[in-house]
Amino acid sequence: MNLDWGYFFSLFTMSAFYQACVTVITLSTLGWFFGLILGFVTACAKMSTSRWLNIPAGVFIWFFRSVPLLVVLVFVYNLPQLFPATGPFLGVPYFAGLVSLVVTEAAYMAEIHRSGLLAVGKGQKEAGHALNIGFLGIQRLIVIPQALRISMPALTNEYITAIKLSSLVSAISLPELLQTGQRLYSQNFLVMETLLAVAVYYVGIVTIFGGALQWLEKRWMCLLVSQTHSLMNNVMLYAKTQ
Amino acid sequence: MPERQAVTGKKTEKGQPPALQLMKIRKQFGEHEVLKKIDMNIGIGEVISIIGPSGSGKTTLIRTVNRLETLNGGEVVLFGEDFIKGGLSLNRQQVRSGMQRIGMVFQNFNLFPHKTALENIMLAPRYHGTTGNAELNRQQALFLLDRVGLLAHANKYPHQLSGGQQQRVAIARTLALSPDIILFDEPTSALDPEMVGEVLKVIQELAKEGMTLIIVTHEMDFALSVSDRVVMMEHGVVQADARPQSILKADNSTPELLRIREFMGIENTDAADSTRSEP
Repeated sequence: MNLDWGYFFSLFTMSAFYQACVTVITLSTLGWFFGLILGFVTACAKMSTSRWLNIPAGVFIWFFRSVPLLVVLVFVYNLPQLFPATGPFLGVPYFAGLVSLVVTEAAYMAEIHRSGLLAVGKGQKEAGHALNIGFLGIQRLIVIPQALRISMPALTNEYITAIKLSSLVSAISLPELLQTGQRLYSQNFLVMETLLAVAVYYVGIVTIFGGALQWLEKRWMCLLVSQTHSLMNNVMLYAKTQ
Repeated sequence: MPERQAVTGKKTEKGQPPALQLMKIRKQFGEHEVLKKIDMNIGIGEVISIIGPSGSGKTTLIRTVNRLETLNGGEVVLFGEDFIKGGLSLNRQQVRSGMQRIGMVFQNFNLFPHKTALENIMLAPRYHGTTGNAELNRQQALFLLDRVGLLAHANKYPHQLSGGQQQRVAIARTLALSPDIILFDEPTSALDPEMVGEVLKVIQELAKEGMTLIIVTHEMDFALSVSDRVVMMEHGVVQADARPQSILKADNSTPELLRIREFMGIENTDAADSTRSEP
């Protein structure tokens, strides 16, 4: 077995790959960010007592967690056949990819947010209530800041997932990393060398950007510690009162 | 805060409505009736301790006053104005302004873990815009921290403080909205024994300054020394409501007070001796 190492290393000087990196990074970052926001809204809707909110939210989560991203992707890309008006937007592979990534990520992140929101102690809301802070104020000042800190590790995980899922967008011919590699090896048949280089690019992106998020997470660490601390307090309190 | 001390006298003056009137308060959890038509009047500047065995409804009672629990019946009148009526929703504005007059301190502190001690105190005044600009708010928060003896810990997060310190921050946080009434829900039950004293001392100072306080507590000596009245609840009713002196002097002529004496663990005073000697 002989690998063409000269070719392999030449792939790291190719501008097409670096442009593809930018595509992957912006696509997954935007997908993650909008998914985070849409997921939060969905989580709130699912936790609402109003059936008009929690049933649609439940259906949204159920549906987009069940359908593979690749299916959503091809479907969204072909939506302009049904609704020609969406053509200028969804006909563009980048935007079709972004929309698909956002809805899929949102469905997963809704559940992550929900667990974070549920983990904020009931006493925290009561303290806000006792200070005469309204429902929205309690959410904004007390619950959401704590819930986000609790969910942060899982959300970082989702970011890494989004980076890797973006490779599926190659199916609708967006020149991201995998697609760029595929174009090369379909001409020179150096499949192993090319895919090895593609893998190295992905590892690099995940290391740098996933690492950045983990660093952010660590800066909040003292507050995560306090979460566990107050949890321990509650446990001890419970033990004491029993 | 200090300016309010002059306004509130120790006892209700003539013509002034009581701080809080509870009328026929009823509360049910499913089939279980926790509060059975409780009536209670609390004068301005009065300090009331509520004692009683677990499950007697004392915590539920003060939680209904703060709208943390809804009422199934009865009403709460705050400074002569309707505040809560069982099953009825009153004017939102009225309820909100009423809420602002009642503060609450919880058994497990419920400080906000993502905020420092100082930020915990500043949060509500900033939200309500009650203390003008941010600098004034900061000054007031520092003043309150000093008052509970924690000025040196202003920038610490709750998890860096001991239980007693956390509870004192929680008291300062409540004071930041200048409430007229403060409810204490077993403020020392979650504390290690050596920290109970420092929290009780702060509460005692509030009582001396004429603040209206309702304290659910298991600290019997504290209840006797600080309160104007001690209320004992049992099975969802007020079993006894008496001044500490009457409780200490209780004998066979006041049988209802003997139960509270027994519950509080008071024994072997002259009064008790005399009851034994009687036929």
